Amino acid sequence: MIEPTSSPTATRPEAGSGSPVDWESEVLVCRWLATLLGSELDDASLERYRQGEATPFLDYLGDAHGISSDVTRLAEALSRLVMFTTPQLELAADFAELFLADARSGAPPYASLYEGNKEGFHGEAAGRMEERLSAAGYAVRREVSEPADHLAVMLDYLATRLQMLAESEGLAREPLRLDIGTFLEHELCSWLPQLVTRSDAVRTASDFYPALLALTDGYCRSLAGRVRSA
Amino acid sequence: MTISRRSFLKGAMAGSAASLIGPGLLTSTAAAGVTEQGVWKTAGSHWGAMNALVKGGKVAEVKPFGADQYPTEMLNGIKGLIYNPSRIRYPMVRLEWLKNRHNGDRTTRGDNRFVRLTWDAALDLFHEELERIQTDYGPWALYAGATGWRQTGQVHSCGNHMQRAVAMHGDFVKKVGDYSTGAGQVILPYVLGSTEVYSQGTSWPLILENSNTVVLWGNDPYKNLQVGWNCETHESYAYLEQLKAKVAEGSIRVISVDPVRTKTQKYLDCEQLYINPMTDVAFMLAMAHTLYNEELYSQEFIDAYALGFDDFIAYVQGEDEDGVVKTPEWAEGICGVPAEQIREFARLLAADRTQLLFGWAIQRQQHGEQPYWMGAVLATMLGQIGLPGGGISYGHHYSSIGVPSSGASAPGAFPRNVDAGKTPVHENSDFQGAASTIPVARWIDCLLNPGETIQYNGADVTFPDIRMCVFSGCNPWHHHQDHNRMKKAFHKLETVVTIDYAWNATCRFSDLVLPACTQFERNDIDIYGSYSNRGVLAMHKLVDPLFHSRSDFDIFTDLCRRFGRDEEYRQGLDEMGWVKKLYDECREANKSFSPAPGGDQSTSSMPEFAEFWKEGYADFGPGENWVRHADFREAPEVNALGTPSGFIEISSRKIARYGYDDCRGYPTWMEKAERSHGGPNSDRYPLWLQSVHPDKRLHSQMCESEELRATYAVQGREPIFISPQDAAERGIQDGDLVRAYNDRGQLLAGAVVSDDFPPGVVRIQEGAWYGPVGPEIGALDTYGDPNTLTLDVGTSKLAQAPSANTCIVEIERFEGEAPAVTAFGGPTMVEI
Repeated sequence: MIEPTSSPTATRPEAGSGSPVDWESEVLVCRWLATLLGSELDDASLERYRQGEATPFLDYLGDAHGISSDVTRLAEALSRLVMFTTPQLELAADFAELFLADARSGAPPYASLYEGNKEGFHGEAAGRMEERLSAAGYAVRREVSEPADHLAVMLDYLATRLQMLAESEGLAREPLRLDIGTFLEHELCSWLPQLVTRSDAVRTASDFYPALLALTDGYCRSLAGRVRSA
Repeated sequence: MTISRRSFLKGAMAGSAASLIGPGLLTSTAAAGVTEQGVWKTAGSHWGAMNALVKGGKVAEVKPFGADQYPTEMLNGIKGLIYNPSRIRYPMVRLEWLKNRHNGDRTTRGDNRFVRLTWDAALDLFHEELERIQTDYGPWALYAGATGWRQTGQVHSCGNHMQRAVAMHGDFVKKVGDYSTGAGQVILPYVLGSTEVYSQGTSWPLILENSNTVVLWGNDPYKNLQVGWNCETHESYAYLEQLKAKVAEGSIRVISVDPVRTKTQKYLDCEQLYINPMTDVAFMLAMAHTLYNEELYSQEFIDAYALGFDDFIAYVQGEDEDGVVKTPEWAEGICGVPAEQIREFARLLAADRTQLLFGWAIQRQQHGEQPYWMGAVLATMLGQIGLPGGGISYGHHYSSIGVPSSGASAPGAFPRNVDAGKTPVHENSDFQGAASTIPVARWIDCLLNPGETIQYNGADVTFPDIRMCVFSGCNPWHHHQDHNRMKKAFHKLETVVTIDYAWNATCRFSDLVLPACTQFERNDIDIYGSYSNRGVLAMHKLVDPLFHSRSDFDIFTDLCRRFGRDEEYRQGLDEMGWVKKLYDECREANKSFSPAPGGDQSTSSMPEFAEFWKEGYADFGPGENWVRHADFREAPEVNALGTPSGFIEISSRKIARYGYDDCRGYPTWMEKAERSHGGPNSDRYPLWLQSVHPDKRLHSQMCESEELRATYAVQGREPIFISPQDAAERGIQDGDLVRAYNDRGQLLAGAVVSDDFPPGVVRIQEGAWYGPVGPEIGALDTYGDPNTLTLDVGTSKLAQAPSANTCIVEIERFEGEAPAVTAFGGPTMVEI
């Protein structure tokens, strides 16, 4: 089981928290991160990244959330992929090493494994997420076949909540904002630092996925601050 | 009009979103709270039949099945097995192999990176490799023979699925024998006419009623009966409880012949007769000498039921070519038992009714045929074979042997072979002069020495040039000896495919890894009670297959689809169709079944399938008492044994004709390649390493359970049990980390200092997961798999079985920073 660890990102400032929040932009960011963390990049997707199509996302994160160092790290990892003769395969192997192989050795993207219990997969965090999804009228798509506490699923869920927030008005808005803040702080920010620490300890061929996880952690921390203060 | 930077970026993100954001992972459902209270289902495993509470789509609680009055604590590991972090979650392929296939670097196998595949891509690769091997080489290049302790269940028995599917594509090299009883199951048909090791034995109630003395010879049933081949219900423990009471009241004397104070001995509070490791035959020969020269043996029984006594006794008396009289004084110097104690023991066994109960450990050593043969000779000299509470058994520690069998017919199984009249896609059965079947424990020899001819059980076996292996539910990187030798052998393999549910070492040494679900994730049917055949159990699917794992049935059906044979493979039935078919056939076979007198007569007819499935089981009732070999004793000519002569063969002309120097025509004492307590090489490696069946797992199964491992691991390592004297001489304290080593390898383990162990004896239980620090030959094993150190030689030219218990080592306190345990951590990465 994964033991709690301190995170190098734990004291990161919540940059950009004073600016007005464009929730629809945050929806896009969450869905983008969920896509990247949900499955490997194929050749076509990787080519789009190498052509710079992710630049707007990276610029937005640096600008709106003040996590420039994380953005720079990911951008540099992307630029260094030219070193590989088969970058898609190397990234896929990194993805497997971190997220897909034996969960004790990589950086498994499941909240349950970071709660200090002995249950393994489908632990209490997965149960809480299932309750959240069910209450919101969602379920994990059958073909995805992942527990609800997979980071990508959680980010996808967060996107749906942010979309609701963007569309909400009046009295419904405040409880929704509070709930999103609670979700970010208790269900994501509670274990993402440990995930980042784990991923940084894995010797991957590229820094792409460790950088992406650091970026995700920084983003969630920043978003939590912005939700709280909105 | 001006546009803010944020607005610009938002627009740009929206523009990129279409190409960078994939389909969502969620789908809409009707909103609902989680209110499920859960439902109890029946299930089963080698650790026991059980009832499981499934709540919210998850196994919430596991309880022993009602009929199991002596459940093992290993049931506590079931949830940890299902939800284990070591589960294989997706089909995976080794990166180097994917890039370069069989032309790639094979030396990185076991220490390389993997990539996820879709099931379609993975099964396409599997099929392409089968096709390549059959086309470019032939059936001699494919080994799909190894099978192991598959998960329970007759429909999904993984070895059957693998071998049927592969056989429908083409022929392949198969195995004979197994790692548990390899020597016993070859020698005993020559001596007693059957393998004996897997035969029902005399019923416990008759032993309890008639035996005056029970001898546990290298036998620890209280430990080993926790697991069973089918869905165990632990009925033997009721009899062990009664035996304990009889020991306490003095009505039965139980003696454990063993170098170690066993769990059974401590439970029964019985006597121990210490003997030096691997010297049982010398000890038994001296007993025979005593029985013969003091005329305590049964000449009448030998005359009526046995052949070959004269040749054997001449050897005992020193009248054959070796000229050594096998006196107790001669044996004392070898076995460490005082001569007078040997005599007293022989006299005790001859004095009254004696039941000999042999374990399997003493045949898992070099010349392992000999102690089993010699045990049968002693039992023959005592003249009690076929009497209640007398004679010899080789199985009372296994799967409820000795619990009376119900006599009912058990369910059949999904077929292992190609259907009658059908032929494989590749009809080539030309092995080009090589053997199509090899002794299972010699497959690493085969990989290392293709074309070499060995002698085996009266025949010549020429090793085929194997290029590809397929394993399913089988972990040879736990059960085969000398892992560093295995590493060299695996460098020769072009392709290795493994189907399993956890990332064990065999997966890490494979190229293609396919995730099977556990038995708790599919429907099945099995007997409960193992040899008692007490009833039929409905093994309900508790939860859907986790992640992307699939049942063996589905995996191999889809493989067969790739060569157009899927309908034939599954005979037109789906999973539940097979469950019902096996049940209905069992029900039909039991139409005229009647429970034993005194049993519940209402069980005489099995219910309709629907009722059975709902109820969860169909009970056959208790069986009747039975005496092994009683029919032979009653009428030896009519009920002849399966030996060449039909009689007990104290000497075997057939074996003598083979002319083997390591297995002669009668049981003999032979020195081992290495032995502690003054034996060969004991000056360098003075400690005997025994690798017994584990107390808290089934071989390697459940070693991955952290919850259970926490109850026995020492500093996160497998325990090594050491005597206080050996520990003190080496400055080792209880709880220290130690390095155990010999010329074959080295490992880390955690010291448990115990006076259950005599000087010169250490124990590491087999099944500990292998986790070397690196791919290099000789790399330190970080967790403590004893097969890092064991000797990989055949028992003899007769059985060619494993000799795992012929192993000597030295140990030292480990100093410095200990490497992390890698055994439970999937594939590790190499520098690129």
